[in-house]
Amino acid sequence: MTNDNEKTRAAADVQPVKGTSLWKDAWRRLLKNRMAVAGGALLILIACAAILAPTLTPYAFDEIHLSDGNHPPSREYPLGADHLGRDLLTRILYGGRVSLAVGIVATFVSIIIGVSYGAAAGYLGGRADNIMMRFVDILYGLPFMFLVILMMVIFHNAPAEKKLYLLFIGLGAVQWLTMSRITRGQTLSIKTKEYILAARTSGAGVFRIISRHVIPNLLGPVIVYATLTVPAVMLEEAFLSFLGLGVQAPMASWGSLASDGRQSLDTYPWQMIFPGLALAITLFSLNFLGDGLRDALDPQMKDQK
Amino acid sequence: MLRYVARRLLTAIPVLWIIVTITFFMMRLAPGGPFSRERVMPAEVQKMIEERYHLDEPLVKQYFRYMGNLLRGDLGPSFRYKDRSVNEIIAAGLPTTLQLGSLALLFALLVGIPAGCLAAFRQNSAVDYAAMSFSMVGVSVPNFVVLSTLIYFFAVKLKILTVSGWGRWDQMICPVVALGLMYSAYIARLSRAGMLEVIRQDFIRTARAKGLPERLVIMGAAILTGSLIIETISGVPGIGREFVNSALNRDYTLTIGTVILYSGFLIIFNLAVDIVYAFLDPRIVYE
Repeated sequence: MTNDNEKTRAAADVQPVKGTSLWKDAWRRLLKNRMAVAGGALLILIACAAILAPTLTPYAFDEIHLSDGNHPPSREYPLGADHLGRDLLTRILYGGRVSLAVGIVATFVSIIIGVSYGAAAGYLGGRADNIMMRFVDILYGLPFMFLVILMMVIFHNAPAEKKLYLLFIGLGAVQWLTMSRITRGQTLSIKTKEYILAARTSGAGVFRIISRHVIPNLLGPVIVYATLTVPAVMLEEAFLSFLGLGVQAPMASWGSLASDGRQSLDTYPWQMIFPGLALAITLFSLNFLGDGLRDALDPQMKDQK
Repeated sequence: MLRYVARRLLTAIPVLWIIVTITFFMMRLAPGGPFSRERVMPAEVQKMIEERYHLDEPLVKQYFRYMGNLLRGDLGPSFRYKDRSVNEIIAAGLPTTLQLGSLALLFALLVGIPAGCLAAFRQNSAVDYAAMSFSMVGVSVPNFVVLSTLIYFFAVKLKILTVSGWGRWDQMICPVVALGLMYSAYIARLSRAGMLEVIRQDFIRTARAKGLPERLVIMGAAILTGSLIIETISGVPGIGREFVNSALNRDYTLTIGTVILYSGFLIIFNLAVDIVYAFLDPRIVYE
């Protein structure tokens, strides 16, 4: 083996060394990060529980047992019941569907807007880039969250489903600015990298350069930022729902369940604590996974550990 | 430098104008009005009230009237609080919100910086892991959950602290800690990373240092948004609470007034960052 290595080193000037791909490398580093793996596993568990909710609990989402109103946690109701005797565990599982959906869809909206805008600005460069990014600077000065709150206030009496779509778009629109800045910066720096020049001089076509060099290097930061955007969006959704402006009955999210529970915090604390805990654990896992991904994919960190 | 600041302040004017215009028309397009919740009034009374607030005029005329008053610094009368102007309401609530925000930031710095530095000096030790796990918890738990938990334990169970109101220390602890906790966790992570780079004498240091003030400013803006919900829940009489209530009550002028105030803060924060950049990085030249 040592012999082989020496041979390769001697031949390095002539022949390129076969290296591991960026993704394989990142994957291996991610697996080494125990907290990130734990976060990822917990997330899969939570997502499965939310998806499989109908098979996991004997109750329906809106099944009312008036005689068991405000029932404390017990065998029948593992996490207690609310004032109408609805099983809280069931409501949390179903609420998780809405919370996770808002987080994922709104993040997707922000990726679509942000990446196409940022990549266009970075690729075009020059004057167009200047104007496009100046526009982003101006939008940064707008208090988006206030505008989303205003929008939700205006459509306060709209049907619950319509409000859900508004949340997707509104919260996605809040997050796209940073996404576009990251993409633009990344595109700009990738354009001038030596490996692009090397690829070009060795005869690679535009398509090959974009597919083999630009997109993989763009994808890393975008994925990392997206993973960290999901908890931010979920937090904003919970924030709006807690104010009574987000997800509304008959639907429920962790934020709206916590909001319902707050009214009886002094007497039946579990009604507030469990939905809040579900939200906190999910955000916790997402943040750990996002951090792990960043460490695994950030090329600057590559040689440090 | 001075010219740069002046130019930035000038570009802030169209931004504010856009915000005011969007807010004005968004509010007016919303169904319901400031007086629609009250008991049915005789048509004459209704007409008198509408005349008094110029609601009977065409919308465009109302818009120009509002903008004209705004230029003179008059935010108009409140529609909901009788006999009080928006200027008065803001003047009454702003000091509370600023106190809450700056106390929360102070708490975040006092807890976050020592925790982050300690973790960096003992990198990969139990202290480090404990501090970082704790900060991850802090980043992940929503502030309204923190506040409710604090209220439950300290106000309901132990009866040491009280909620609702502002001014005495026992009223202030819960909201300040709830608002500041998330940012103390954030600062702990930032200062650990910064400290590690200083220890390692890293060349990336400057790159990271450039990102730091930006994050601090985003945090300042986020604290203002956070104060919305904290004030609403804990009954702190600031302007954050007025924003949500006024929007729900269709108190048009008060809503626009609070939005202008918040946008003004955001613009000043952004300008502050760019100025700090200039001090940190001599390569940046402002013309």
